[in-house]
Amino acid sequence: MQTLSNLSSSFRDPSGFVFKKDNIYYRQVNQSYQAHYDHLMQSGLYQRLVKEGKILPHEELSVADFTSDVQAYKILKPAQLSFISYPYEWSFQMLKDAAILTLEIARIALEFGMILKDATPFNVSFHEGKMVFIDTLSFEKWNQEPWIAYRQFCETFAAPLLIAHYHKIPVDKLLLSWKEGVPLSYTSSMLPWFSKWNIHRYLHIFVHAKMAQQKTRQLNQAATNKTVNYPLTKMQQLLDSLKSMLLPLRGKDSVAVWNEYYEEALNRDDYVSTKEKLIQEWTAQIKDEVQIGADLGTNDGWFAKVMAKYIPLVIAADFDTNCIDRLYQQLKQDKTSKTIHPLVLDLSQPSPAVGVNNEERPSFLERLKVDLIYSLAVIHHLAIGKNMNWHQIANLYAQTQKYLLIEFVPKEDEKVQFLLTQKKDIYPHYTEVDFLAVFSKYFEVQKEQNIAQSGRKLFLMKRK
Amino acid sequence: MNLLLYIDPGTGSYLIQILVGAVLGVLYFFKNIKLYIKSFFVKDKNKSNSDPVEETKEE
Repeated sequence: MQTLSNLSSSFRDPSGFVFKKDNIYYRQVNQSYQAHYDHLMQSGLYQRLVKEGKILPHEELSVADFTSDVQAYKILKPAQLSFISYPYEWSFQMLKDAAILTLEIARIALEFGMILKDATPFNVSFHEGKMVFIDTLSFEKWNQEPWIAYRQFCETFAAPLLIAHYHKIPVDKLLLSWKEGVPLSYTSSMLPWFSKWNIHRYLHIFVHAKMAQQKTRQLNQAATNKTVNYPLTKMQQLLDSLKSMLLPLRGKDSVAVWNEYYEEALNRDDYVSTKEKLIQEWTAQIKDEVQIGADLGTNDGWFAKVMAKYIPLVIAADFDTNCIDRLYQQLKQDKTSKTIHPLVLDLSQPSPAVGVNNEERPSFLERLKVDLIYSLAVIHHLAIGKNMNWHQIANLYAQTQKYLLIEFVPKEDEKVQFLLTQKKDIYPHYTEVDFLAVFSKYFEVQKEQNIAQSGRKLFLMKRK
Repeated sequence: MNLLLYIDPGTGSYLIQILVGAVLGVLYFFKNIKLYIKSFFVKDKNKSNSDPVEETKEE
């Protein structure tokens, strides 16, 4: 038997790695991590975190069934994540909840004599309606030292949250630029002067940034390897102070791009009700063939919720981070809808593949393995708003392995006309005939119907 | 003050944590006193739950 090969995103930590076999994710724990792993499992910490729903549970499997690697200590089969999204596809509240979760876990771990050896949003994932910690190998026995992950926490969680709080900008854009965190020197220069007037922010960001400067580093080389005793109370206060700094932060809560969309749409005759009825009917007919669906351009998730009535897992994506933030908060409160996965995503530029050799985190389209896509009142934004041609748009939707439920919005539609008031009409091909001519190369049209008197049309297509 | 401190750029920012720890120690010490005094006047407050952290609000 051979040794197992790790996933391209799982190489940093010598304690073990994640691998995939027969489409199931496993984790190998190495001998070098044995003492820490045993402590995690035997001290009661793992059980407590699982009970509180903070960590992804796993089961231990026989090592011999998987590998002959002498390094291997345990093979774990974690509860499987239905879909993996990355922090640069999250909304403000998702990142904030991930940060608070990380701090709470570190605080609980202290009670059991452990600490987190790293603190990055990549250790957290959205799973069944909430943020869950997924990196079992992050726990380390604590020797009363300062927190090794302190700086990482400040740069990957606190910095983007603070910048987004003060400037009301989306966190996803910040995290896509600085995947390993916004350097504190940049952060302190981006924050307004009055943000210093809070002891927690002043210490963790401003003083911290100052002390990380080059001259200080060189002058204090000698202090590198000194053992520092950091008592429990101090560590608890440090974690509590970080939490106090983050709790009051708020994302942008002004009127979102789509905020009034449905209110207005609802007033348009029976447009929404007819559309909803049709979508329900068609989705119900194909539901047996669909395991995973995606509502791309979901707005506030209205139709993603419709899809979720029939389909086991629904990815709900929109470029408007405020819509996704609201959807996330609704899903968090509504314990029944655990099958919707909210995501911030611009369809005209989906998340790229990033990291080492561009292999560490696959692009959004590589991860999008779905059987059904909803594209509802979206194509005019792509075709006219973003100048994408029909082939590019059809290619995007051809990511579906089976079905596409798409709404065509004609040029005469008031929304399209509104888009055209702001730019020149250079879109002679924006017609239903041209749309169908191109889409029929990729799809077979199975159903089509007008949506009430709106002039808009709904199509159910099947991938050729 | 700066001269005594060292920050490893790659890892933990140990010495700032000592400084932060000292400042927070003083902060939470006074918060505790504040809570203790408060508990004299507000009798129905749950004494066992007098965690100073919960009291920390944004300035």
